[in-house]
Amino acid sequence: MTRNPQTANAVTRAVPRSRRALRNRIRKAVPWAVISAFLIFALFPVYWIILIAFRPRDDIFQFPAALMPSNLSLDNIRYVWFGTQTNDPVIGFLGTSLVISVTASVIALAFGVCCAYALGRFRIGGKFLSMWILSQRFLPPIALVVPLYLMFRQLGLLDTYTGLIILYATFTIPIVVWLMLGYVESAPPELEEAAYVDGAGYWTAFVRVALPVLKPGLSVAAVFTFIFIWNEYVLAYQLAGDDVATITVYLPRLRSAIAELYGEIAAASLLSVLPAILFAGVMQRFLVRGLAFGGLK
Amino acid sequence: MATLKLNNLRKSFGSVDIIKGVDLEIEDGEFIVFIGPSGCGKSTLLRMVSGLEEVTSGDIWLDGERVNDHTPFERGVAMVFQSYALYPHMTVAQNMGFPLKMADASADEIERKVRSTAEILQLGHLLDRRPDQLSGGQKQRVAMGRTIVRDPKLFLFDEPLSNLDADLRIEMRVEIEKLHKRLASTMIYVTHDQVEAMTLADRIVVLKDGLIEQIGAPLDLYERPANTFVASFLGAPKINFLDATLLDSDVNSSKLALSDGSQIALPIAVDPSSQGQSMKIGIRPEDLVLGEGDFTVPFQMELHERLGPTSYLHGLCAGNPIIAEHRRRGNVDPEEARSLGVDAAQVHLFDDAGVSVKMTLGAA
Repeated sequence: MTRNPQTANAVTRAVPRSRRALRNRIRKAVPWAVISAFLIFALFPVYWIILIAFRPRDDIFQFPAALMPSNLSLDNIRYVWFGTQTNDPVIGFLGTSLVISVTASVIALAFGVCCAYALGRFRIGGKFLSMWILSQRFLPPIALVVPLYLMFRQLGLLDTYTGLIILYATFTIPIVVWLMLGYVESAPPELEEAAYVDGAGYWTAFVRVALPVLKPGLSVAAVFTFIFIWNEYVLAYQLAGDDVATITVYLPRLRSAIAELYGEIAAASLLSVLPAILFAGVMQRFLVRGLAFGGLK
Repeated sequence: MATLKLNNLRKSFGSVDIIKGVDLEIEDGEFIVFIGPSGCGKSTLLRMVSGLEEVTSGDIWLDGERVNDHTPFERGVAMVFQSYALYPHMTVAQNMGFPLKMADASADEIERKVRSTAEILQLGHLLDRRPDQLSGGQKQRVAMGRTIVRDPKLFLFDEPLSNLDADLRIEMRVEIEKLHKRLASTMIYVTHDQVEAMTLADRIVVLKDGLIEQIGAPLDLYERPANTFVASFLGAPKINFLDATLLDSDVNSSKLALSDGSQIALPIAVDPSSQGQSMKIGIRPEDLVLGEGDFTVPFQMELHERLGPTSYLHGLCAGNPIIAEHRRRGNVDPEEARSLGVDAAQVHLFDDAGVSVKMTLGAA
């Protein structure tokens, strides 16, 4: 009896095909597994903070710890929001952080983008000025705390909005310059040249033509700057005081000698990250790439 | 409407000289094309005229006024860029109205001028669109519209069609030609495309290495090139060059030896003092015919390239690769194509430095 050659062929081909399919499936599954593992590792602390924030105090120290909460409570949020005998309401600190972060970010963006534009378009300062500007960030902030403290005390800027705003704007300008320099250099100069030919001066061409094109870069710089200032602790701790304290200064105060208010710390932490997340979400709308090149070939 | 005069214009970037002394006078209403290979300085020269590039030395006179230190706007020039340079965040109407806005025109005037210009360029239905919603040809029209609304003294075009596909290029070329006829403005157009140069220009300025090689009407340049560079830059396929040595010349004819030793007699008189000098004989492909002419050159056919209405015969003439245009359909037998006839009136002679040699047709 002879075997049908076609059937034989199909059988021999079927085996490698199923093996290939399996190999493909594994190849696709591996990245997912790695990403999932990383996400679990990275997000677990966040999950734990949320869990603590919404748990009654007694459940926080429960052993063994429950991964899923059995009962939820808004007490911690309420204590933090309205304040208690031992701690002030969080809203004032959030407000201070918001005022300082927004004002300092706006100043840093305004100065930084002008500076980056001058460096990128007009080659001001040659090769080294841009590196010199960035070198300001080589030092860890802590190294500057003592001289800054002395300067601020002399100038009467300790524990003031003005002091912190000047401080943060100065610290974030180099970041803005470096971020924006790349965007300026990659934006086509013909657009401003067309504006000059059309009758615009340098300033008009910058404001009406270059800035709208640089909007995606500005959004990135705004998010970075805002989040950097919002989260900064070391300098705020040294240079802020009772009158002007940011949210990052408020959080450790909940961990006092009398009591460690883990529930309140978790709730305050949650409330403190919300503005940054909201801001990043809003700015994402402007991070539309490719706008700059719509008018070109 | 403007006259333009460039007087010993120079431009250097550091130690690199880009424009090495350009003198040029442009009449009112003329369409001038700057043509040359990449890096010859044609775009730099245009940018110097526009005011976007500073002048290292020399003068630019616009309508009799020295404008070296004037801004582009003060010069009254308008420019179409190679990349169109439309403002991506503005609509077509805003793009076209921008120069008027900068000139503090009233909203009514801007609206009226933008509408009328848009009608001319068939952009009326696109006024509310943004540049990224337009095709290449439409972007090109908007860029042209932006220059027209201002009614400038001088129009500058920097390779405006180089990003368009072949069909659209032809279409837009005709549009630019019509525009020039309608506006009768002075225009300077930079290109490396010889077809654009030949079809659009009143006069062509051929540039090489920052210097003008020749200025003239398109056909003048084609028929009487000043040197081998101009001769080879204009014309497709390129002009054929045969290396030769002038043996003898009298009032009626010249005898030349080709590089393989064969001799040809040209019914052309050249200066006898050039006797013994090596030369280049320039013959355009369309001036070489199968059969007899005023004189013939040897030919060894290698390839017959058919393009439809015409075809090209590739081969060797005394060791020099040459191309002959053949306007009849059908096959060509290599054995029959052993020589090519030449019309003596269409021959160009160049000396060993590549400069055109003065010559006269023989009396015979």
